Amino acid sequence: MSAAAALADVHAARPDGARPILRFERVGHVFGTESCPLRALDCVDLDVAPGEFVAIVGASGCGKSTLLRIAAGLISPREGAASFDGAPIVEPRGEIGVVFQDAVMLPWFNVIDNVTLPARLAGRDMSAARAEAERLLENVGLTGFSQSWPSSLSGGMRQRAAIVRALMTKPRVLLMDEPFGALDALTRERMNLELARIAEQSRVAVLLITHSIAEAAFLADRVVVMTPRPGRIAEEIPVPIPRPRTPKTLSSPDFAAVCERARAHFLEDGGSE
Amino acid sequence: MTDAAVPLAVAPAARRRPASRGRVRWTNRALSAALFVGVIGAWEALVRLFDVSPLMFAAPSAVLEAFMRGVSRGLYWEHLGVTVFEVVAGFSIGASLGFLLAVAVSEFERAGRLLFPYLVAIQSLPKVAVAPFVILWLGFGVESKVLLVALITFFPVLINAMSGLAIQDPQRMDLMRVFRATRWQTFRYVRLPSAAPAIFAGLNVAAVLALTGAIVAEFVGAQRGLGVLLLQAQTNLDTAGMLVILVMLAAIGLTINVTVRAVERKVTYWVARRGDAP
Repeated sequence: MSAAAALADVHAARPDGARPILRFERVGHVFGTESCPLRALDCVDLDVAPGEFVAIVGASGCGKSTLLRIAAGLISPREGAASFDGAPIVEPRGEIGVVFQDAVMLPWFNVIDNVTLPARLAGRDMSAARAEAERLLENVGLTGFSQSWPSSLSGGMRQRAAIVRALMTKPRVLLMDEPFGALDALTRERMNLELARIAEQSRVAVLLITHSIAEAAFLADRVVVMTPRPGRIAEEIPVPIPRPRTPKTLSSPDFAAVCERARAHFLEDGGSE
Repeated sequence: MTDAAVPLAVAPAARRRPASRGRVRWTNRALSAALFVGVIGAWEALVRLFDVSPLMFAAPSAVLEAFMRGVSRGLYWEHLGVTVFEVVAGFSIGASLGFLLAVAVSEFERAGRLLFPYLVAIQSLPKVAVAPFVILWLGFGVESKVLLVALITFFPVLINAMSGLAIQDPQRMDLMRVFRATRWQTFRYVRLPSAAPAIFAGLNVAAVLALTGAIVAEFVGAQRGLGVLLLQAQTNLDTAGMLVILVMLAAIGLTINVTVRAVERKVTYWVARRGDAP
């Protein structure tokens, strides 16, 4: 099968690909009542290697957010299991960071207090956390905004602060659920470049969920195409584009090929993209 | 590429106030002063013009005269102090208990479901109607007034705090779960601030009712307080004296209201309010 072939490709290309940091084994999930069940996920097998960037593309309602919530430990799957570094995920854990679709900044905290919230909740040394947060904010171009209120930031800036907040726990996996879905197209492109840089620098493994094939192909080492009802993995497409990714990536033939291959799934489906 | 985003976001914060705002504010103040003088003047003029009997109503000049007379006799301070004490003590007790019960009810769902019908039933009862009972139990002193004020302020705070604490923003809850916040942390950092505007809505209502409760309780039976003074003035057919008490009550009510709103502004600093930049 092509999916298996793709997996083999990735693992062959990766010297440290021995043990996945994040693994889904035959994960299935059903919502709704017993009389009216709604199958969200069906038999999903997926591995994410340490430092790997995997993007899941799919139409609305294909269960990709459910998959991410399972990885985050926010819900437990009805069937199968998700594991982090070999240990089953039963509840949220510090090594797994999450960035939601909305930045979810608490309006009663300024940027620095929002960003250092994980440290505060974990009872860690706040002055060290603040210094670390300032450094990370600087890294994402938010220098001088630590005392600002979230409401005074643009959507893109808020989302950058949310990424910094997720990085504060020094996660080894970053789960991102449509993080740029609410942003305008231009900001979104800028955020993609930013995210590519952050991921390349921090070597954190990323599982990104997106509607956008181009976004997935630009950012990921591997694009996973999901089809809805029930949510299944249709294909895993390796992205043979070297890093760092730059605006030039967008015009490379490999990029176009990946996009085309992913798009084929949605066209035969009746064009749900 | 980040640089491009920065000026966009700086712009609103750095926006200057319109130059004419200060002038507008002074014009507004002048207008409202003129309105006050006009109303008082019209009141005085109408009373004189129609030669209204002092047994029915008094002119502002007579009210002022009565006030000065009362002050020189040291008539007011004790009664004023008693009423203010009843309001402040009753409000503090009632509001605190209302808030605490709301927290308990929101934390223990089953208790909430059991209590809710009774709370709604008691809420729809006019609390001043139990004043005779309260006087019967606690007598004519301040205790009965404090209890009635507490009772009357308890419910609006309870009901509003309950509805505020019932807000469950799923995203914020997910965020707190992801960071493995404890129940107390979730309450402290998310649920309580989310509920704060609703709690203050309850406190604003309670603040108005507190004074009403104190005065009604004093009417029903008391030895001291502005309500007692008001009834005495009525017995003496002293309309000017009655109006002095009414003005004092209005002043107390206004002070309470302004104080609660100032505290609200301070505590819920992140809430954008209409007319925030007058």
